[in-house]
Amino acid sequence: MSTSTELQAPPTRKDTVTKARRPARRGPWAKAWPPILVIALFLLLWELACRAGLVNEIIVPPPSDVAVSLVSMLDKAYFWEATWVTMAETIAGFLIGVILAWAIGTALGMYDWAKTAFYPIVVGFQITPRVALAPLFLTWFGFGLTSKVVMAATICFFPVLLNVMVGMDTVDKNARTLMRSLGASRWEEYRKLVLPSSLPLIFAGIKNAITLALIGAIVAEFVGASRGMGVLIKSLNFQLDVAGGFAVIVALMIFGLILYWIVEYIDSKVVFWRSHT
Amino acid sequence: MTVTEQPQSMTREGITIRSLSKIYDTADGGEVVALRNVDLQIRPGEFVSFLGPSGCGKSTLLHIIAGLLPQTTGTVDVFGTPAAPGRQDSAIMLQTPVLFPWRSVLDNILLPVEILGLDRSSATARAHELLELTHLTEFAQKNVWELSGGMRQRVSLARALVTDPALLLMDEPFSALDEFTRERLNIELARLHEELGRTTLFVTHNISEAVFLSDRVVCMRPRPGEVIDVIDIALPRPRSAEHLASAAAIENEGLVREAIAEYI
Repeated sequence: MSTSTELQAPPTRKDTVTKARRPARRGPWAKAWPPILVIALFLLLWELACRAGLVNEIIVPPPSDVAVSLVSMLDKAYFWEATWVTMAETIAGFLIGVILAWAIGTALGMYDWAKTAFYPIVVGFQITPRVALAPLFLTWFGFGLTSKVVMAATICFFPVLLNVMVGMDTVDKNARTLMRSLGASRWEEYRKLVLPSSLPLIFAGIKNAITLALIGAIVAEFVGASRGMGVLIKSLNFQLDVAGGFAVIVALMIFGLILYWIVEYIDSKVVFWRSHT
Repeated sequence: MTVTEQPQSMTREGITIRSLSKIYDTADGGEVVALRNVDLQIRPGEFVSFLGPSGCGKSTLLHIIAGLLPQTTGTVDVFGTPAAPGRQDSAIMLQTPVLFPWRSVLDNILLPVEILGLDRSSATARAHELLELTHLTEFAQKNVWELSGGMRQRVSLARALVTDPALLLMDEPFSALDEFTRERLNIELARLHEELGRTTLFVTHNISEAVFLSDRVVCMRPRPGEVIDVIDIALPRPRSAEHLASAAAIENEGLVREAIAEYI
């Protein structure tokens, strides 16, 4: 009895390695089919529920209607115009928010007193639902793109700011000692040690920010705008074209995913050492 | 080979420590005497270990010599000038390898060259020589996460040597490694010391390591941190693996152990 457990207990190294590698050998499809199956099943159940009359088609249209609406929108100029407006607001707000957060977070993180002084207010803003500022921005910056860009920038500013500040605290103490022993200036220490050390956390914040920026732009459009996907959703809903509203939401999801993948790709190239620390 | 050339500063006097004290203020308004009245003269090219239990101030002493900490009283002269950071003639190696994962092995070694603003092309040639000396030739372009713990600490040693420092400060550099790796690195360090002849100050709490590597062992006690004895190690040079557990080594270890007996 004891002999057999002894023989079975320690799995050999080779076994573990083979098991770990098996999914990779089957290629990307091995990983892709379970989510595809789940999505297909979800859409199928939704379709069946509508067709069987379990839900009112005016309130929740079947996915096939949504797909038809989406496809018909693809050759409409108003759809692409709205997409362009919302994407421009999102990307501009994202870039402004991230760059400002990086610059201000770095400046605050450099000095202990500044960090202590500003940390509570930063956390305070981080906790406040920033979409609540949208009506205020509308009165300040008007119906045009500015109020949406400001909203998107504001909503992604604080998470990035917080990660920039926290990232500067995660720098290895011995690494700082080494830099000091070499007589590195503050700037050299930042550029060669602090910035790269905090990049994994900064990029975690940035990945968060791109999704937040899109939320900010859409909410700001809901509050008051004449153009954009948020406006399109609202007007389609008013016309009781619920399938059309859903189609725009699906389009938003797709564009949001594309933006996220772009940021994720940049992250994997910039912070290439992430999985090894 | 440029690696074995003697730097200018080696011809000057070594390291002089005079009535050095370091007192820390504690949070509750008290004082901790980390170091009291340390007087030492270290000759150029000498290998000196600082040995003692934790809290004896051996690391503090090394950090003061590196110019990383100000002393409370006394003076430290390194090759005729006061201890200071950012000197090309001195380099420190810490307990952890401190390698940057965003840099290749070679670029990690070249970090001091960049910060001290030295000529990169000649330093690159030197870095390759050091990679050879530390048996890392084929790892120059590798990422640091591809290296074992012992290899990482060898990269750290190569980085310390890349500026051709006359003084090498080592703060328990192998203490985080397993016993086998530590012993192998100690043998390599002994060989490098024979080849390069750099003045080396080595902080450790391991008696046999101190004896095997050193010309002298500075024995220290804690609270207050003080030098209690300086033992001359009567082991022939060049040192190699056979000296690790030789009768003479064991005899010298006995002398050291006797000096610090009451603090073990």
